[in-house]
Amino acid sequence: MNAKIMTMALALLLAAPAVAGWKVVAPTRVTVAQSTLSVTPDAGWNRWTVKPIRNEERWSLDGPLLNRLSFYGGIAQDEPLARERNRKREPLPKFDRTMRATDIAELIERTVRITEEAPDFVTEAVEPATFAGQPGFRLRYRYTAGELVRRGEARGRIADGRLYMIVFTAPALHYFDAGLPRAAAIMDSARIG
Amino acid sequence: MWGLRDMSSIRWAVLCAAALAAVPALAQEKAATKPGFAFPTDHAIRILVFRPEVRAGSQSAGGATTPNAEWTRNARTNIMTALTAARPGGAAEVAFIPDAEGDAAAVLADYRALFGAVANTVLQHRLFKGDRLPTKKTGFEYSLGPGVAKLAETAGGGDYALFVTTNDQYGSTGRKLLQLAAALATTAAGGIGPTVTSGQHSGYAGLIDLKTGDLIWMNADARMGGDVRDADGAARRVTQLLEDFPVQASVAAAAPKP
Amino acid sequence: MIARWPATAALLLAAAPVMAADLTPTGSPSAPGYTPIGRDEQGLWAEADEQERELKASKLIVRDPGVNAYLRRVLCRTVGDGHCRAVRLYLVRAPIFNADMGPTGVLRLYTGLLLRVRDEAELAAILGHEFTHFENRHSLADMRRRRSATNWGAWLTVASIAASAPRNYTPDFLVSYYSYSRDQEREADLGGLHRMSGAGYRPLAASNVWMHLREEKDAQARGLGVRSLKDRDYGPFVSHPMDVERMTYLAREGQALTTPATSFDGLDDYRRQLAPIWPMLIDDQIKLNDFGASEYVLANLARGDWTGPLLYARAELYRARGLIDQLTAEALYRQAIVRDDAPVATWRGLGLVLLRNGRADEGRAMLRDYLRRAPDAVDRAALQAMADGM
Repeated sequence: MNAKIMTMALALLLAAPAVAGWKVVAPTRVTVAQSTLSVTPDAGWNRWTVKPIRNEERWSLDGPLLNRLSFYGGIAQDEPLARERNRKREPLPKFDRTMRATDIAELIERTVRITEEAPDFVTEAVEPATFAGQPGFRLRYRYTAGELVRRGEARGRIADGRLYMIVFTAPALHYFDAGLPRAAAIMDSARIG
Repeated sequence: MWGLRDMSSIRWAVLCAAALAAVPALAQEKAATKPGFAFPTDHAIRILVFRPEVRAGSQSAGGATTPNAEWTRNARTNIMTALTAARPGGAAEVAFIPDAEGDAAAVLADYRALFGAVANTVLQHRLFKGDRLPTKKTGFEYSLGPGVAKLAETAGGGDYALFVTTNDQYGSTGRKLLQLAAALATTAAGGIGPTVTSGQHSGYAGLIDLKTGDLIWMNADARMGGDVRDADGAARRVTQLLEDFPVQASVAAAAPKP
Repeated sequence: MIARWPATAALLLAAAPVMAADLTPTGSPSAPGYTPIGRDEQGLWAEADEQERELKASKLIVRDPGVNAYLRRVLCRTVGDGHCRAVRLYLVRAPIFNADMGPTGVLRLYTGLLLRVRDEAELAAILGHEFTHFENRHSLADMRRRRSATNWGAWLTVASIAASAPRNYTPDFLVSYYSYSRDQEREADLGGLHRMSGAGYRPLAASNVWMHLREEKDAQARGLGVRSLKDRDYGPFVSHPMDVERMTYLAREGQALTTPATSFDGLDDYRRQLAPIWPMLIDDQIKLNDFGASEYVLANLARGDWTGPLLYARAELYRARGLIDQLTAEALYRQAIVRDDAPVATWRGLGLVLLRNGRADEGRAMLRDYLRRAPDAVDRAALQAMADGM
């Protein structure tokens, strides 16, 4: 007991990071984010075993700093898009079932500005687009986090009062354009239910 | 609220933490090369080197680090000299990318940031076990993209770009004495007690193809040798940093540039 | 057990002389041509120079020449022309109420601070505070204190293990380190106050900054429906004194310094010079999902004179808050839209809120109006679909 406390207290060695795991995603139709949302990926994707929030699942091709595909499998009324550090004192903006495409764009913007400390967030496009066979939205945005400019594309729609959405984010230099076609193909393959 | 005086360079801290945290005790050193890569043999190659990120300081008994200006200055000079002399991979020429102004500085900063993200990713998710991506266990496919050609332009042309980062915190006498005292006390207490390490010497280096932007090679080592504060030690350090660096086969037909 | 003591004690004694003395720097670090003195100061400066290389290229630096020239004028007036040349001031885009000073005179001022400070005198108090950190070499003293505290903590901890009474002593020493840090802040507060009042600024402005920050914390808590943290005592491990303490001693000393010669607060200059970046600063604040604090900040900016841009910003705050506030948002957009200085985005906001409030025809017309006024809007496709009734 003492030894353990001593070792930790002295902090003479860097603590090992919490071990997160990655699993291969099979290139067949899979349901994601413990929901009825399903997609058909190509080979080469890795799934993070950690769930950032209950209804989110993250994939990556090369590592989450270089390309990240987030699946939101039915964000419910009054739920945020990311984990809240302090639910009472630093609440994140919440999803509302009456939101339109422009509102979802603002929801993402506010969330990213807070969670990624990105004051230069700019929305580049908000347009109607089909998602999982029904009218939905497509968004594009850009922001700087840690001096690295990142871009994002989100597609989704609201079904039965819940938000289903797939978001691809990557550095604006090279990785966004390089990964977007593969991410977009997965978005195109989305089905709900 | 104001007056939080020293905010350390966040990016550096992140990289360094990743470099250290990602390295399990049993695997301190790892290198990887893009499969099938070989330097072209039709011309002599010119390697551009980014200003090495060099930190040198001392570690006090309690573990606090104090940056040392003279050591850092000497270390940077020594490492740059040693890199030039080493002619990595048999390069005909090694040149340092000069400081830039205006738009060129912005391009440089953009690619430094991107390389930081790529290096961090390779360290955390490729070279070392623990958080490795299963699809990246083999192979070595990372790239900064063909836009890197712009970097070569700003530095008078080049075939490859080399990034070098080192961090050396020399254990002070106080630290070494504490290490000894902790070992004695721990033994006396029947093996229950802290393990104190003295000094911290890590580094990594990466090579980028300036036409494709592909990462060709990367090497990381959390326990490096060679005292960078003197010329001989820095030469040993550079040799370690360049371990497993690809080598150009003899250049046929083309003579080195005049 | 006792027998094992001597070995450790001997080591402890041996360690003392090993802590080689470093030079104590003298002279003003802001004097022209000053170079750092001694191992520690030289090390700190070298490290800070490396960080400044990166800072210079940062994407988040606000480079508006007029704004930067103005900030520098206020700094130079506050600390004197001879000293201000040594300071490099960087305005960093971040919606937080903060500023910091490095050992070499790199002053980082965050945009959220400019939004909260009400006039030039308040800004001068802050710039004077930061300059005092530089001039009095607080970074150096801080580094040495921290190092010494962790050294003592580590040695006593090891000794306690040797003595079979293991205990971690580091926190005990950190308490004294943080106490010292708070003393530095008090010194910087008072140094800043004397500098700004010496330059003819209204001394009580310095205390006002803290009064308003406390009010903002109250407003923030009201917006969240939680208890205000303005008087929360965070205990011994904090680097700065409590806001209430700073407000109080600055008021006491500020009153003593008040004379007819110290009455300048520069409200109009402050507003006029920062006008070019005002919309960006307001936008960065209202998108933080911090309704109470944002509304408080807007009301401060208005001071009873609600301009088109401020009404628009307030309407946006309400629109983002959910159903009950949509009617307030509508009313605010309507107040903004009749003014000559209403931002174009007011038509967008009013259109969106009208659709929510069940006034579909008027809302669609408003969105069409907006798209005529802003043909290059990034959300054109989505708004057009809504205007078309889809």
